[in-house]
Amino acid sequence: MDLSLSAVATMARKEFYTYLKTKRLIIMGGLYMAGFLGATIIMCYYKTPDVFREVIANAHSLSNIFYILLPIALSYDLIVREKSRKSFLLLLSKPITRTEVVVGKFVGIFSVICAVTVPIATIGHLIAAVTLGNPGVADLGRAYAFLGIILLGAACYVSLSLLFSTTSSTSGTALISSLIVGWFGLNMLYPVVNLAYALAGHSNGTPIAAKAVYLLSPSNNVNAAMEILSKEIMGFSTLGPVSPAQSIVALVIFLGATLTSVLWLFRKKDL
Amino acid sequence: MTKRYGRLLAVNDLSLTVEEGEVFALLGPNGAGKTTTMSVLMGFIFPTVGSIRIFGQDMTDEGRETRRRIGFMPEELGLYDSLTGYEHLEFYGRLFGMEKREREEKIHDMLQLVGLTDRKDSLVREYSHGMRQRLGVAQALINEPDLLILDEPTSGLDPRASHEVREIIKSLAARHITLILSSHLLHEVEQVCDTVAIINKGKLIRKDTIKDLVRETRDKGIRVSVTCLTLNRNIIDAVRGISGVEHVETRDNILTAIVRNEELAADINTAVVKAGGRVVRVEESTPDLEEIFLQLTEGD
Repeated sequence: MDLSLSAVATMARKEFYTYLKTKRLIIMGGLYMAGFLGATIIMCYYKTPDVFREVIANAHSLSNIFYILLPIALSYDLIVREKSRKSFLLLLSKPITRTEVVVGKFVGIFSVICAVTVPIATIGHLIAAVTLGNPGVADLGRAYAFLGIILLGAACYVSLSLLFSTTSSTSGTALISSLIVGWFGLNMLYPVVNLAYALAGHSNGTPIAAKAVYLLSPSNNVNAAMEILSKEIMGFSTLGPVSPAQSIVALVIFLGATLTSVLWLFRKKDL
Repeated sequence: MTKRYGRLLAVNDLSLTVEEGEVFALLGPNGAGKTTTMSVLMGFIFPTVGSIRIFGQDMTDEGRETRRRIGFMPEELGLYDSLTGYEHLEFYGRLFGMEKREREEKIHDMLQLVGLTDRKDSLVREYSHGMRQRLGVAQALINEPDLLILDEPTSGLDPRASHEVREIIKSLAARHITLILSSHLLHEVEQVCDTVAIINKGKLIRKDTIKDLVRETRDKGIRVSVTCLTLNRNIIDAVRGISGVEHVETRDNILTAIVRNEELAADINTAVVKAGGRVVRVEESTPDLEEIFLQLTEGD
């Protein structure tokens, strides 16, 4: 595949600076900052017993919705909007391939998400570290490792939204599809399959089929990987039926499969 | 090349060659298939059958190196409303791999060429339609293309803005770059282009130089129109009686004759006066592209 890093970087740079100024980012980023830092400060004030890791795990858990909605909100119309306003015609008349356009857009939006989440999470980590005492390098490492998994999950939602943006004919359809499938549909598969097994009288452990559908949801996988920070989240001990390692592998496969599908579909599309 | 959209045949077995240095027009009414042809040409849509080659490269492939040598301006300019004119040119300049200094020089030159230097830092959403179109021309030229493709470049512009864009195109044509222009405006094509391909309903009707087309139609006769205060049977018969007058028709007070020889206009004038007609005006007209176009698309 002929991929020019310079073309990808130019595309990513343009998307990055464009989206950094958008209302949707300012609103979502503001809400995330208020949610994550607010939760951290409140939990630090009450000093939950398992200190640093517990506080950070809970703060991320409470901010979970933003890790799904922020990527969807930023990327649902990346392709469909350019198609409807015909800006692809100018863009693709230049020496940039369709593959580079998609990869550049993905990198640009993912960079925006990182630019918002990493500094805010870092401030939260610092607040917790200062308030609760020195957490140690290992605990900080676990906190950032989990943030990395969160960002991997966010990347999955970006590529899923890109997929719907490529297949949809309007921005509205792309948004609804991304929300229904990405947020609701994939998360509902696990309880539905579990319920079906329960109704069928299956009660010994989690069936393979239920585990498989659990692994399909990036949000589930991020939750399951939270085990690397703390097993006890908000008093619930069940983080998921899969291990963090399985979750990370599932996230990587999900990202690879959706991004490959976007590239394949977009390369064949009449604009 | 053939392009189908389901049951709709947008372009039907179109085969064309444009030579280097030619100023070529794709002419046809709205819906003739010009934009579809342009889109296939640029690789935005894929042909159902056939292929297009530019500089020897198949455009259904991604063709990065070919695009380095092409400037393109689509009919609908999809500019980014949240970027300024300068930012647009900078973005496109970066895509061509230009270094900062070269990019800045090119942007400066282009903005001057299209007269947008004063508004370079305004957001494109604040631009008028004419200014957007001029920015479209600037982005198409930023790489100093060997081939410039313009799809309805004056579409939707007021007469003044159309004139400005046309003047820019004329100056480009004078630089001897290969230019492919699609238009439904006959006078625009006539002013700018050397060669024209007329398409209608997705089919190529004729490809020729404008000079040859005009000459061929002129060979069929020159039109002499005489406006009289009153027209009567005697006057019409007197004109019909002149040797070399091939066809006579009348409408209101205007008598129109098709003649072989330009000098016959004087004979017609004399005949009308002798038959008692009071002549107000005599006009001789040679066929323009509009007439040729109407003749060629007659029956379609």
